[in-house]
Amino acid sequence: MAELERLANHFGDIGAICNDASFAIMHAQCGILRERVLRAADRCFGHRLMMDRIVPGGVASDLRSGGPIQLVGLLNEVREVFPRLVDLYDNTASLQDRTATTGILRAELARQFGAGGYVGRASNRAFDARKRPGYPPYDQLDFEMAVFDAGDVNARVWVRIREVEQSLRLIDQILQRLRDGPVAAAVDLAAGKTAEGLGFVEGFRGDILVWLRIEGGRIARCHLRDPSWFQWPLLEAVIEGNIVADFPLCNKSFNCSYSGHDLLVGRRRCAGPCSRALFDGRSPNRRREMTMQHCRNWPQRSIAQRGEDSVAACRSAKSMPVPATAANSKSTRLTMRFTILNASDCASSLRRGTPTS
Amino acid sequence: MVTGPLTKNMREALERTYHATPDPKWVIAVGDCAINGGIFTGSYACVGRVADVVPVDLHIPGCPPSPKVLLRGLLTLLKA
Repeated sequence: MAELERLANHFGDIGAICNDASFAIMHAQCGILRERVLRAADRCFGHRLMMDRIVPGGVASDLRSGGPIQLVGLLNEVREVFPRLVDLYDNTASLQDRTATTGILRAELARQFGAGGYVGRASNRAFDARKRPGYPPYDQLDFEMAVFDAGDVNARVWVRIREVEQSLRLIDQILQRLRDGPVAAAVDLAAGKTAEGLGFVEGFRGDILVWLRIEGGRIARCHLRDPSWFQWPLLEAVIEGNIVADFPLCNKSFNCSYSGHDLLVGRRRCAGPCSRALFDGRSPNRRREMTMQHCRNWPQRSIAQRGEDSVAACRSAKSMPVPATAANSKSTRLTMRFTILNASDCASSLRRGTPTS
Repeated sequence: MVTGPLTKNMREALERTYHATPDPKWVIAVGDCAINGGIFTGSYACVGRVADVVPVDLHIPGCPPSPKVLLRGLLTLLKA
Protein backbone atom coordinates (compact mmCIF):
# COMPACT_ATOMS: atom_id res chain seq x y z
CA MET A 1 0.00 0.00 0.00
CA ALA A 2 2.84 2.41 0.84
CA GLU A 3 4.46 1.84 -2.55
CA LEU A 4 1.16 2.16 -4.42
CA GLU A 5 0.57 5.44 -2.63
CA ARG A 6 4.07 6.59 -3.52
CA LEU A 7 3.46 5.68 -7.19
CA ALA A 8 0.11 7.50 -7.35
CA ASN A 9 1.43 10.67 -5.73
CA HIS A 10 4.71 10.77 -7.65
CA PHE A 11 2.78 10.42 -10.92
CA GLY A 12 0.50 13.24 -9.83
CA ASP A 13 3.45 15.44 -8.87
CA ILE A 14 5.54 14.80 -12.00
CA GLY A 15 2.54 15.65 -14.17
CA ALA A 16 1.59 18.71 -12.13
CA ILE A 17 5.12 20.14 -12.16
CA CYS A 18 5.20 19.86 -15.97
CA ASN A 19 1.74 21.40 -16.13
CA ASP A 20 3.05 24.44 -14.29
CA ALA A 21 5.45 24.86 -17.20
CA SER A 22 2.37 24.66 -19.49
CA PHE A 23 3.38 21.22 -20.72
CA ALA A 24 -0.08 19.71 -20.48
CA ILE A 25 0.57 16.38 -22.21
CA MET A 26 2.75 15.15 -19.32
CA HIS A 27 0.02 16.17 -16.89
CA ALA A 28 -2.63 14.24 -18.84
CA GLN A 29 -0.47 11.14 -19.32
CA CYS A 30 0.70 11.07 -15.68
CA GLY A 31 -2.93 11.59 -14.67
CA ILE A 32 -3.87 8.41 -16.51
CA LEU A 33 -1.12 6.46 -14.72
CA ARG A 34 -2.21 7.89 -11.36
CA GLU A 35 -5.80 6.89 -12.07
CA ARG A 36 -4.67 3.35 -12.99
CA VAL A 37 -2.93 3.05 -9.62
CA LEU A 38 -5.97 4.32 -7.73
CA ARG A 39 -8.27 1.87 -9.51
CA ALA A 40 -5.90 -1.00 -8.78
CA ALA A 41 -5.82 0.09 -5.11
CA ASP A 42 -9.61 0.09 -5.04
CA ARG A 43 -9.80 -3.41 -6.48
CA CYS A 44 -7.05 -4.76 -4.23
CA PHE A 45 -7.88 -3.05 -0.93
CA GLY A 46 -11.40 -1.65 -1.28
CA HIS A 47 -10.52 2.06 -1.28
CA ARG A 48 -8.99 4.20 -4.03
CA LEU A 49 -6.85 6.19 -1.60
CA MET A 50 -6.42 3.23 0.77
CA MET A 51 -7.93 5.25 3.62
CA ASP A 52 -8.87 3.43 6.84
CA ARG A 53 -6.86 0.40 5.73
CA ILE A 54 -4.22 0.61 8.46
CA VAL A 55 -5.53 -0.11 11.94
CA PRO A 56 -3.95 -0.78 15.36
CA GLY A 57 -2.42 -4.23 15.14
CA GLY A 58 -2.19 -4.50 11.36
CA VAL A 59 -4.29 -3.80 8.29
CA ALA A 60 -8.07 -3.79 7.91
CA SER A 61 -8.30 -6.18 4.99
CA ASP A 62 -6.20 -8.70 3.14
CA LEU A 63 -5.26 -8.27 -0.50
CA ARG A 64 -8.43 -9.30 -2.33
CA SER A 65 -8.51 -12.36 -4.54
CA GLY A 66 -7.16 -11.51 -7.96
CA GLY A 67 -5.16 -8.67 -6.37
CA PRO A 68 -1.72 -9.91 -7.41
CA ILE A 69 -2.88 -10.23 -11.03
CA GLN A 70 -4.25 -6.69 -10.93
CA LEU A 71 -0.97 -5.40 -9.59
CA VAL A 72 1.16 -7.29 -12.09
CA GLY A 73 -0.99 -5.82 -14.86
CA LEU A 74 -0.50 -2.35 -13.40
CA LEU A 75 3.27 -2.81 -13.18
CA ASN A 76 3.41 -3.96 -16.79
CA GLU A 77 1.45 -0.96 -17.99
CA VAL A 78 3.59 1.49 -16.04
CA ARG A 79 6.79 -0.15 -17.28
CA GLU A 80 5.57 0.25 -20.84
CA VAL A 81 4.28 3.82 -20.64
CA PHE A 82 6.42 5.58 -18.04
CA PRO A 83 9.83 5.35 -19.78
CA ARG A 84 8.33 7.12 -22.81
CA LEU A 85 7.10 9.93 -20.56
CA VAL A 86 10.52 10.17 -18.92
CA ASP A 87 12.11 10.48 -22.40
CA LEU A 88 9.61 13.17 -23.29
CA TYR A 89 10.41 15.05 -20.10
CA ASP A 90 14.14 14.73 -20.56
CA ASN A 91 14.21 15.63 -24.25
CA THR A 92 11.91 18.64 -24.31
CA ALA A 93 14.16 21.69 -24.27
CA SER A 94 11.38 24.14 -23.37
CA LEU A 95 10.50 22.05 -20.31
CA GLN A 96 14.11 21.56 -19.24
CA ASP A 97 14.60 25.28 -19.56
CA ARG A 98 11.98 25.75 -16.84
CA THR A 99 13.02 23.02 -14.42
CA ALA A 100 16.83 22.84 -14.65
CA THR A 101 18.64 25.34 -12.37
CA THR A 102 15.26 26.62 -11.10
CA GLY A 103 14.56 26.82 -7.36
CA ILE A 104 17.86 25.51 -6.05
CA LEU A 105 17.91 24.26 -2.48
CA ARG A 106 21.45 24.24 -1.13
CA ALA A 107 22.53 20.96 0.42
CA GLU A 108 23.58 22.79 3.56
CA LEU A 109 20.06 24.13 4.17
CA ALA A 110 18.46 20.77 3.46
CA ARG A 111 20.75 19.30 6.10
CA GLN A 112 20.13 22.06 8.62
CA PHE A 113 16.38 21.69 8.40
CA GLY A 114 16.46 17.91 8.28
CA ALA A 115 14.48 17.96 5.03
CA GLY A 116 13.30 14.47 4.15
CA GLY A 117 11.80 12.90 1.06
CA TYR A 118 12.43 14.15 -2.46
CA VAL A 119 13.26 17.63 -1.13
CA GLY A 120 16.18 16.37 0.92
CA ARG A 121 17.30 13.67 -1.50
CA ALA A 122 17.39 16.11 -4.44
CA SER A 123 19.80 18.21 -2.35
CA ASN A 124 22.19 15.42 -1.49
CA ARG A 125 20.69 14.49 1.87
CA ALA A 126 20.82 10.71 1.63
CA PHE A 127 18.11 9.88 4.11
CA ASP A 128 15.21 7.50 3.63
CA ALA A 129 13.43 5.98 6.63
CA ARG A 130 13.05 2.75 4.66
CA LYS A 131 16.85 2.44 4.66
CA ARG A 132 17.68 4.03 7.98
CA PRO A 133 16.52 3.12 10.57
CA GLY A 134 14.81 0.72 8.17
CA TYR A 135 11.80 -1.38 9.01
CA PRO A 136 10.13 -4.55 7.76
CA PRO A 137 9.74 -5.54 5.03
CA TYR A 138 12.14 -3.00 3.49
CA ASP A 139 15.10 -4.33 5.44
CA GLN A 140 14.80 -7.52 3.41
CA LEU A 141 14.03 -5.97 0.03
CA ASP A 142 16.41 -4.83 -2.67
CA PHE A 143 16.04 -1.18 -3.69
CA GLU A 144 18.17 1.89 -4.20
CA MET A 145 17.85 5.31 -2.67
CA ALA A 146 17.64 8.07 -5.30
CA VAL A 147 19.96 10.92 -4.37
CA PHE A 148 20.82 13.94 -6.54
CA ASP A 149 22.94 16.95 -5.72
CA ALA A 150 21.67 19.69 -8.04
CA GLY A 151 18.87 20.67 -5.63
CA ASP A 152 16.75 22.24 -8.38
CA VAL A 153 13.21 21.51 -9.58
CA ASN A 154 14.68 19.12 -12.15
CA ALA A 155 16.46 17.13 -9.43
CA ARG A 156 13.25 16.85 -7.42
CA VAL A 157 11.51 15.52 -10.53
CA TRP A 158 14.30 13.00 -11.07
CA VAL A 159 14.16 11.75 -7.49
CA ARG A 160 10.48 11.02 -8.10
CA ILE A 161 11.20 9.32 -11.44
CA ARG A 162 13.81 7.07 -9.85
CA GLU A 163 11.50 6.33 -6.92
CA VAL A 164 8.72 5.30 -9.28
CA GLU A 165 11.15 2.80 -10.81
CA GLN A 166 12.19 1.54 -7.38
CA SER A 167 8.57 1.25 -6.21
CA LEU A 168 7.85 -1.00 -9.21
CA ARG A 169 10.78 -3.22 -8.17
CA LEU A 170 9.56 -3.22 -4.57
CA ILE A 171 5.98 -4.18 -5.42
CA ASP A 172 7.35 -7.01 -7.57
CA GLN A 173 9.43 -8.31 -4.67
CA ILE A 174 6.63 -7.91 -2.13
CA LEU A 175 4.20 -9.84 -4.36
CA GLN A 176 6.69 -12.68 -4.71
CA ARG A 177 7.08 -12.92 -0.94
CA LEU A 178 3.39 -12.85 -0.05
CA ARG A 179 2.34 -15.69 2.22
CA ASP A 180 -1.07 -16.66 3.54
CA GLY A 181 -1.75 -15.78 7.13
CA PRO A 182 -3.35 -13.23 9.45
CA VAL A 183 -3.02 -9.56 8.47
CA ALA A 184 -3.72 -8.13 11.91
CA ALA A 185 -3.07 -9.06 15.53
CA ALA A 186 -5.79 -8.66 18.13
CA VAL A 187 -5.40 -5.49 20.14
CA ASP A 188 -7.01 -5.14 23.53
CA LEU A 189 -8.11 -1.52 23.88
CA ALA A 190 -10.50 -2.14 26.76
CA ALA A 191 -11.24 0.59 29.29
CA GLY A 192 -8.51 1.08 31.86
CA LYS A 193 -5.76 -0.04 29.52
CA THR A 194 -3.03 2.32 28.42
CA ALA A 195 -1.15 1.72 25.22
CA GLU A 196 1.52 3.78 23.58
CA GLY A 197 3.39 3.53 20.32
CA LEU A 198 5.71 5.34 17.98
CA GLY A 199 5.66 5.04 14.21
CA PHE A 200 8.33 6.24 11.80
CA VAL A 201 7.74 5.55 8.11
CA GLU A 202 8.76 6.89 4.73
CA GLY A 203 5.65 8.41 3.15
CA PHE A 204 5.73 9.78 -0.37
CA ARG A 205 6.74 13.26 0.88
CA GLY A 206 9.32 11.96 3.33
CA ASP A 207 9.62 10.63 6.85
CA ILE A 208 6.46 10.76 8.97
CA LEU A 209 6.57 10.49 12.73
CA VAL A 210 3.54 9.52 14.78
CA TRP A 211 3.40 9.12 18.51
CA LEU A 212 0.15 7.98 20.05
CA ARG A 213 -1.13 7.14 23.51
CA ILE A 214 -4.43 5.32 23.94
CA GLU A 215 -6.14 5.32 27.31
CA GLY A 216 -9.39 3.51 27.97
CA GLY A 217 -10.03 2.88 24.31
CA ARG A 218 -9.66 6.55 23.36
CA ILE A 219 -6.78 8.59 22.01
CA ALA A 220 -5.33 10.38 25.03
CA ARG A 221 -2.41 12.16 23.34
CA CYS A 222 -1.05 12.26 19.84
CA HIS A 223 1.86 13.88 18.08
CA LEU A 224 1.92 13.82 14.28
CA ARG A 225 4.94 15.23 12.46
CA ASP A 226 4.44 15.57 8.73
CA PRO A 227 7.50 15.83 6.44
CA SER A 228 6.23 19.23 5.29
CA TRP A 229 7.08 20.61 8.70
CA PHE A 230 10.74 20.69 7.62
CA GLN A 231 10.03 21.52 3.97
CA TRP A 232 7.79 24.62 4.02
CA PRO A 233 10.45 26.96 5.46
CA LEU A 234 12.87 25.81 2.76
CA LEU A 235 10.47 26.69 -0.06
CA GLU A 236 10.87 30.28 1.03
CA ALA A 237 14.63 30.02 0.57
CA VAL A 238 14.29 28.22 -2.75
CA ILE A 239 12.20 30.86 -4.51
CA GLU A 240 14.67 33.62 -3.70
CA GLY A 241 16.09 35.14 -6.91
CA ASN A 242 13.72 33.20 -9.19
CA ILE A 243 11.29 34.83 -11.61
CA VAL A 244 7.65 35.00 -10.48
CA ALA A 245 6.56 32.62 -13.23
CA ASP A 246 8.78 29.91 -11.73
CA PHE A 247 7.16 30.09 -8.32
CA PRO A 248 4.50 27.48 -9.21
CA LEU A 249 7.24 25.10 -10.38
CA CYS A 250 9.20 25.54 -7.16
CA ASN A 251 6.04 25.14 -5.11
CA LYS A 252 4.80 22.07 -6.97
CA SER A 253 8.22 20.43 -6.84
CA PHE A 254 7.94 20.63 -3.03
CA ASN A 255 4.21 19.79 -2.91
CA CYS A 256 4.09 20.42 0.82
CA SER A 257 1.00 19.52 2.81
CA TYR A 258 -1.02 22.37 4.30
CA SER A 259 -3.09 20.24 6.64
CA GLY A 260 -0.14 18.04 7.63
CA HIS A 261 1.76 21.14 8.64
CA ASP A 262 -1.24 22.51 10.54
CA LEU A 263 -1.37 19.37 12.66
CA LEU A 264 1.60 20.90 14.46
CA VAL A 265 0.87 24.59 14.03
CA GLY A 266 -2.62 24.16 15.42
CA ARG A 267 -1.07 23.09 18.69
CA ARG A 268 1.83 25.51 18.76
CA ARG A 269 0.39 28.49 16.89
CA CYS A 270 3.80 29.13 15.40
CA ALA A 271 5.58 28.38 12.13
CA GLY A 272 9.10 28.18 13.45
CA PRO A 273 10.66 24.72 13.26
CA CYS A 274 12.26 25.09 16.68
CA SER A 275 8.94 25.46 18.43
CA ARG A 276 8.08 21.83 18.75
CA ALA A 277 10.37 21.10 21.69
CA LEU A 278 9.95 24.40 23.46
CA PHE A 279 6.55 24.37 25.01
CA ASP A 280 6.43 21.19 26.99
CA GLY A 281 6.44 21.85 30.69
CA ARG A 282 5.81 25.60 30.38
CA SER A 283 2.91 27.45 31.92
CA PRO A 284 0.17 28.68 29.55
CA ASN A 285 1.18 32.30 30.13
CA ARG A 286 4.82 31.59 29.42
CA ARG A 287 3.82 29.69 26.27
CA ARG A 288 1.80 32.63 25.02
CA GLU A 289 4.71 34.99 25.67
CA MET A 290 7.14 32.69 23.90
CA THR A 291 4.85 32.35 20.91
CA MET A 292 4.34 36.09 20.59
CA GLN A 293 8.04 36.77 20.82
CA HIS A 294 8.90 34.00 18.43
CA CYS A 295 6.34 34.96 15.81
CA ARG A 296 7.39 38.59 15.96
CA ASN A 297 11.03 37.77 15.38
CA TRP A 298 10.67 35.00 12.87
CA PRO A 299 9.74 36.87 9.64
CA GLN A 300 12.66 39.28 9.96
CA ARG A 301 15.25 36.56 10.29
CA SER A 302 17.07 35.01 7.33
CA ILE A 303 16.84 31.27 6.81
CA ALA A 304 20.34 30.73 8.22
CA GLN A 305 19.54 32.90 11.24
CA ARG A 306 16.39 30.89 11.84
CA GLY A 307 18.51 27.78 12.03
CA GLU A 308 20.68 29.46 14.64
CA ASP A 309 17.59 30.65 16.51
CA SER A 310 16.36 27.10 16.60
CA VAL A 311 19.56 25.83 18.19
CA ALA A 312 19.68 28.61 20.75
CA ALA A 313 16.02 28.28 21.63
CA CYS A 314 16.18 24.52 21.89
CA ARG A 315 19.28 24.65 24.08
CA SER A 316 17.54 27.07 26.38
CA ALA A 317 14.66 24.67 26.70
CA LYS A 318 16.50 22.50 29.21
CA SER A 319 15.82 18.81 29.50
CA MET A 320 14.56 18.64 25.91
CA PRO A 321 16.64 16.98 23.19
CA VAL A 322 17.87 19.23 20.39
CA PRO A 323 15.51 18.48 17.51
CA ALA A 324 16.62 17.43 14.10
CA THR A 325 15.99 20.85 12.65
CA ALA A 326 18.75 22.52 14.59
CA ALA A 327 21.44 24.32 12.64
CA ASN A 328 25.03 23.04 12.47
CA SER A 329 23.80 19.64 13.58
CA LYS A 330 24.15 16.29 11.92
CA SER A 331 20.48 16.29 11.27
CA THR A 332 20.23 12.69 10.18
CA ARG A 333 21.87 11.47 13.34
CA LEU A 334 19.70 13.72 15.47
CA THR A 335 16.55 12.60 13.73
CA MET A 336 17.56 9.12 14.71
CA ARG A 337 18.32 10.24 18.24
CA PHE A 338 14.96 11.92 18.50
CA THR A 339 13.31 8.74 17.32
CA ILE A 340 15.24 6.49 19.61
CA LEU A 341 14.65 8.70 22.63
CA ASN A 342 10.95 8.41 22.09
CA ALA A 343 11.21 4.75 21.26
CA SER A 344 12.93 3.97 24.53
CA ASP A 345 10.19 5.82 26.39
CA CYS A 346 7.61 3.46 25.05
CA ALA A 347 9.76 0.36 24.79
CA SER A 348 8.22 -1.09 27.91
CA SER A 349 4.72 -0.78 26.53
CA LEU A 350 5.88 -2.31 23.26
CA ARG A 351 7.23 -5.30 25.10
CA ARG A 352 3.87 -5.81 26.71
CA GLY A 353 2.49 -6.35 23.26
CA THR A 354 0.59 -3.09 23.00
CA PRO A 355 -0.10 -1.77 19.53
CA THR A 356 2.32 0.23 17.45
CA SER A 357 1.43 2.16 14.38
CA MET B 1 -20.66 21.61 -4.81
CA VAL B 2 -19.69 21.93 -1.17
CA THR B 3 -17.00 19.58 0.13
CA GLY B 4 -15.51 18.98 3.55
CA PRO B 5 -16.87 19.75 7.00
CA LEU B 6 -18.53 23.17 7.30
CA THR B 7 -16.25 25.12 9.63
CA LYS B 8 -17.24 28.17 11.62
CA ASN B 9 -14.67 30.16 9.65
CA MET B 10 -16.27 29.28 6.33
CA ARG B 11 -19.93 29.58 7.28
CA GLU B 12 -20.33 33.20 6.23
CA ALA B 13 -18.33 32.61 3.03
CA LEU B 14 -20.70 29.78 2.10
CA GLU B 15 -23.79 31.87 2.84
CA ARG B 16 -22.49 34.83 0.83
CA THR B 17 -21.49 32.60 -2.07
CA TYR B 18 -24.96 31.05 -2.06
CA HIS B 19 -26.73 34.43 -2.04
CA ALA B 20 -24.37 35.85 -4.69
CA THR B 21 -25.16 33.03 -7.12
CA PRO B 22 -28.12 33.86 -9.41
CA ASP B 23 -31.01 31.42 -9.90
CA PRO B 24 -31.38 28.77 -11.16
CA LYS B 25 -28.91 27.11 -8.81
CA TRP B 26 -28.33 23.80 -7.10
CA VAL B 27 -26.34 22.98 -4.00
CA ILE B 28 -24.68 19.57 -3.79
CA ALA B 29 -23.14 18.35 -0.54
CA VAL B 30 -20.25 16.16 -1.66
CA GLY B 31 -18.80 13.60 0.74
CA ASP B 32 -19.65 12.39 4.22
CA CYS B 33 -18.13 15.44 5.94
CA ALA B 34 -20.39 17.83 4.02
CA ILE B 35 -23.41 15.61 4.62
CA ASN B 36 -23.09 15.01 8.35
CA GLY B 37 -19.72 16.30 9.56
CA GLY B 38 -17.97 12.94 9.12
CA ILE B 39 -15.09 12.41 11.50
CA PHE B 40 -15.24 16.11 12.41
CA THR B 41 -18.72 15.76 13.95
CA GLY B 42 -18.81 17.56 17.29
CA SER B 43 -15.59 19.51 16.67
CA TYR B 44 -15.46 22.95 18.29
CA ALA B 45 -14.37 24.38 14.93
CA CYS B 46 -17.32 23.04 12.92
CA VAL B 47 -20.90 24.22 12.41
CA GLY B 48 -22.27 20.84 11.40
CA ARG B 49 -24.05 19.81 8.23
CA VAL B 50 -23.98 21.95 5.08
CA ALA B 51 -27.78 21.46 4.97
CA ASP B 52 -28.06 23.36 8.28
CA VAL B 53 -26.84 26.52 6.57
CA VAL B 54 -27.96 26.41 2.92
CA PRO B 55 -30.67 24.30 1.23
CA VAL B 56 -29.08 21.19 -0.27
CA ASP B 57 -30.54 19.67 -3.46
CA LEU B 58 -28.40 16.54 -3.57
CA HIS B 59 -26.19 14.58 -1.20
CA ILE B 60 -23.38 12.46 -2.67
CA PRO B 61 -22.00 10.17 0.07
CA GLY B 62 -18.52 8.68 0.30
CA CYS B 63 -15.22 9.26 2.01
CA PRO B 64 -14.37 10.48 -0.53
CA PRO B 65 -16.99 9.65 -3.20
CA SER B 66 -15.51 7.74 -6.13
CA PRO B 67 -15.53 9.46 -9.55
CA LYS B 68 -18.30 7.07 -10.66
CA VAL B 69 -20.53 7.91 -7.70
CA LEU B 70 -19.93 11.61 -8.32
CA LEU B 71 -20.87 11.36 -11.99
CA ARG B 72 -23.91 9.22 -11.24
CA GLY B 73 -25.08 11.79 -8.69
CA LEU B 74 -24.63 14.71 -11.05
CA LEU B 75 -26.44 12.89 -13.87
CA THR B 76 -29.29 11.99 -11.53
CA LEU B 77 -29.71 15.65 -10.63
CA LEU B 78 -29.71 16.70 -14.28
CA LYS B 79 -32.38 14.13 -15.12
CA ALA B 80 -34.59 14.90 -12.11
